[in-house]
Amino acid sequence: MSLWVDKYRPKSLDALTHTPRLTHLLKSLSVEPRDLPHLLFYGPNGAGKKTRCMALLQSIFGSGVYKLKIDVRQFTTPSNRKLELNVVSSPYHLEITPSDMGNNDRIVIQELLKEVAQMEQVDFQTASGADTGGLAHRYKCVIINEADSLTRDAQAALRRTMEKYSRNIRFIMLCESMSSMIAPIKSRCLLVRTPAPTTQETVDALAKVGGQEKVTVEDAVILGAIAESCDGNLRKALLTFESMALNNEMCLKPSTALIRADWVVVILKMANRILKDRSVSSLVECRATLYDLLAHCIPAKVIIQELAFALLDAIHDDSHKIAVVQWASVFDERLRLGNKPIYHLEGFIARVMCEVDG
Amino acid sequence: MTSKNGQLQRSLSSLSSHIHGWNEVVQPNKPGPTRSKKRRIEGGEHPKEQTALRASEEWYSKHKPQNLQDLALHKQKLKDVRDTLQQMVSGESEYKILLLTGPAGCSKSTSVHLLSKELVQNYREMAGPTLQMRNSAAPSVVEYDSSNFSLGSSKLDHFDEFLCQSMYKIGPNLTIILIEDFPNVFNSQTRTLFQQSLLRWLYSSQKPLPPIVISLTECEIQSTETSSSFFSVDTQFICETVLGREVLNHPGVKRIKYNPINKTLLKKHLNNVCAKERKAFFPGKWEKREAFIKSIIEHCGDIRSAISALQLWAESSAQSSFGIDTREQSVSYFHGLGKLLYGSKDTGGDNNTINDLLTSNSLMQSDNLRLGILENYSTFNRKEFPLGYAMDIVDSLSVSDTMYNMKTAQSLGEALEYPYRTVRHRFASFVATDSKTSPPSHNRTVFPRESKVRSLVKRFLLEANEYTLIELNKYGNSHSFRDVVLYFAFYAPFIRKRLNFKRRTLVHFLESMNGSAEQKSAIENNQDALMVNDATDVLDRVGGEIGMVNASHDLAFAEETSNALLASSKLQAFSKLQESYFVTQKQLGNQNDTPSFDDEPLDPIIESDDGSENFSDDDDEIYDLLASQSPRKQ
Repeated sequence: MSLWVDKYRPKSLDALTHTPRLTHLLKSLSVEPRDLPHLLFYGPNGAGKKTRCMALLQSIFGSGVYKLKIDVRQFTTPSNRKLELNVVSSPYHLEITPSDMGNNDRIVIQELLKEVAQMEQVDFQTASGADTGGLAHRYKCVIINEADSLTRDAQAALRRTMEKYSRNIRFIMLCESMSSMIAPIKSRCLLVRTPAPTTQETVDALAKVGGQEKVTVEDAVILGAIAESCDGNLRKALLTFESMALNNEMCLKPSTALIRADWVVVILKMANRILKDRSVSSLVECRATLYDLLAHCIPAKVIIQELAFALLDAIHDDSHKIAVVQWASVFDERLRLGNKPIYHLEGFIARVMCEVDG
Repeated sequence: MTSKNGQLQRSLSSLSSHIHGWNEVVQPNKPGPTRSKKRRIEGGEHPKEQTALRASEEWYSKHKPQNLQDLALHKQKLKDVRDTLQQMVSGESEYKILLLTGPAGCSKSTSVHLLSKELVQNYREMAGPTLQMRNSAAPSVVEYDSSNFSLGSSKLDHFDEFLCQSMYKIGPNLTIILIEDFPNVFNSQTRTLFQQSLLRWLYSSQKPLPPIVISLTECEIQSTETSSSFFSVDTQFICETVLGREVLNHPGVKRIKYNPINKTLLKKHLNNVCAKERKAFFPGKWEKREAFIKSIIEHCGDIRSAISALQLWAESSAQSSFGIDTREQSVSYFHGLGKLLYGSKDTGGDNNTINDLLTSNSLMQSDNLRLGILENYSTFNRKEFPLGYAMDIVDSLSVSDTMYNMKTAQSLGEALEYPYRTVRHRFASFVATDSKTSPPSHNRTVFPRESKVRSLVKRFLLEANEYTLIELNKYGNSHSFRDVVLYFAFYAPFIRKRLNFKRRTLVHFLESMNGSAEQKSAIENNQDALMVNDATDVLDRVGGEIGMVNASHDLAFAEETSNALLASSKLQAFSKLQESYFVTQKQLGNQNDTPSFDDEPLDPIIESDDGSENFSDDDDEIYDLLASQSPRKQ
């Protein structure tokens, strides 16, 4: 009963679908598990970073890596605040997501990793004669999701840990862009670029899933349209595909309406409103919508990005387009610097309204 | 030298009695002893502790109004209170509770005490002439005292007990119940009980009940945190937060608002006090009193504090009036906001207004005011101002927010000043150009919505967390939070659609059965489906507007989402999951591969699919019939 995204996620290196060159590289890595370097997977969202990373671990440790359990760990910050963090782990690896811990990620990284790194030594001497030949058990893998959201502090702390405990610990970091990773970390890792699947590869993946789920696809055109609308994000493509199939009794016609994430629709509506009704009261109503989007945990960065693209599509005047891009970048930077996203989002909308007014 | 020493001691002890004086205020005071004069003469001697205490009786309690004519209260307001209370005493009124609200020192309690003395005695004379002798001696007012615990009684139902005891003070025994001292309403449990007791009283069918008067001194409590705060009793000690919406909206409650005492009344009273206390004045002070009184009344609507200031000034030997100030009129959130948005005429120039605001108190340091500006700039002139102004203001707020220091979690002073000045500058220039035609009129200012959004986010996080835990325990998939947000976005509309459809078909089915026994059992079995809100449309999950924070609506909201509650529900969800995890483990051990749906009612996706399957099994024909109808048509 799980979602198709999870159900048809490849579990082993052999099952991976797109980018065969990368699969080949990972296979060669799994041949010599003792020498597994620290890895840094980078590539767009929905390109299969996590899938590849788990498949690699599977080829090294066996399917035990999919036996996940979750622990709630408590950490205390210097200011005596209690932090709770869910740590997902298997016998062979553990996963952390730094965005869960906000600004205190340095402490969590230090405490957690130190604990893991020091404990493993004891653990693994006893397991050295096990049936995997003792090779793989030398180290434990730590997967860091969304590594680009680590603060500088945490990255610096990580660098120390990587050096100090490299005997017991291997890091696999996943990030979308490497620009926010500090150089020392990049130099200590094997960089693995994970490209997004091409439209054709996405269509193939969708067709495969559709075949197994017995979805009647009248024409592959609709699959192409789904793939196009998702910009190489395979996760999004599968989600769209599944919800479209469910909404249309498992039968997709070329004319079937594309389903988008509901908040994207809301942002599109808002963009239209901004261009049509440029007034203070419209601005106030936009704020209410913004608050609702924020309340549903849509990141402000994503809102401003989607909104800017939606505006660019709807605007015809080139000078206005330039202004939108310019202000979007200004307010995107302010979002990073600031604390409360609502000021910047509304500021952007107000700017755009004024620019379009001339 | 020694005389000066004595004076100093006196003012010290007057301070201490100031603190103790609160409870003593209740009893009408006998005319003050003339000891103070005597002590003045023997000022050279070392004063004994006792004489010092006796002598420095507070003027505000000493010259407490003895009759209604002396009361510092507007005549119309007094008439309002009197009429309402008169009706309540005589039992003609539908009101059971009279609620008096207002800032400190505006004669709330005094007026109640004086009025009740008069009204209650009148009533008793009418009601039971036979018992007159005994009853006239009984107090006309009984007051709740939260510190008056008998040993062994529970703190929580102390108030309830008090109400029960007072319930029979009717007929010839009639007494007004005055609630001025509250139980510890900052504790949410105590507050709930307090509100419940009042509600029970309001809904009680027992006809003659003694009238309750609640006198509530409203104030804003400055939070020490710099982060913006919730709209709750912790920051706004006002009747909305203390009593709750249900009590306030009950028809049995009459609310009368008191204002700070106006300048004319205050001046009159201060002059009266001066005339009575002429002898207590320090030599040379009497002549200067006019100027001092004038300076006090300028910024004080608090009679208690004004008299205290007068006393301190008059009895001290210090010649200047510096350093003696009345209670600082703290700038409340709404007050500060009003000054920024609409300007102020008192201070002369916007520059001064902002400088005053910046130095006045901690309000300016908090994020709340900036959020308030964002929330309320559009109220200026009912949104009728150029868009460019709005842009400038929001832009200034945005720039100011970037000057936020992550490490100390505080903003720079300049960062705070910048938006304030922009706002004032912009709106001041607007008034200059347009005020000839008509003065700008404004909408009501509101509290920022940020806290509401934050609690919604917390709730969302909790839901997402539950989903991740279920997915992990049941299927062994781990999801990042970002993905969960995406899943919700794609599937929530679909799930809502299905639930809605299910409910409609069910309703239709039930209607067709016309009240047979089957219908009842069907209703019982499908309670959860019937509870789905019809109004939620397919795309309703996001994009709805988050309404303004409104005292009567959002209070319950702020209360129920307090952190403690969220934390506990988080723990509950987790322990529930642990249980379900073991159950599934056991089942897996028994080679029972079908996951049990009943163990995890939390999983929204499973729930909907599961429900519709059951439904089709049970009522195949009707389902087929109804499935041909579009879910949206009905």
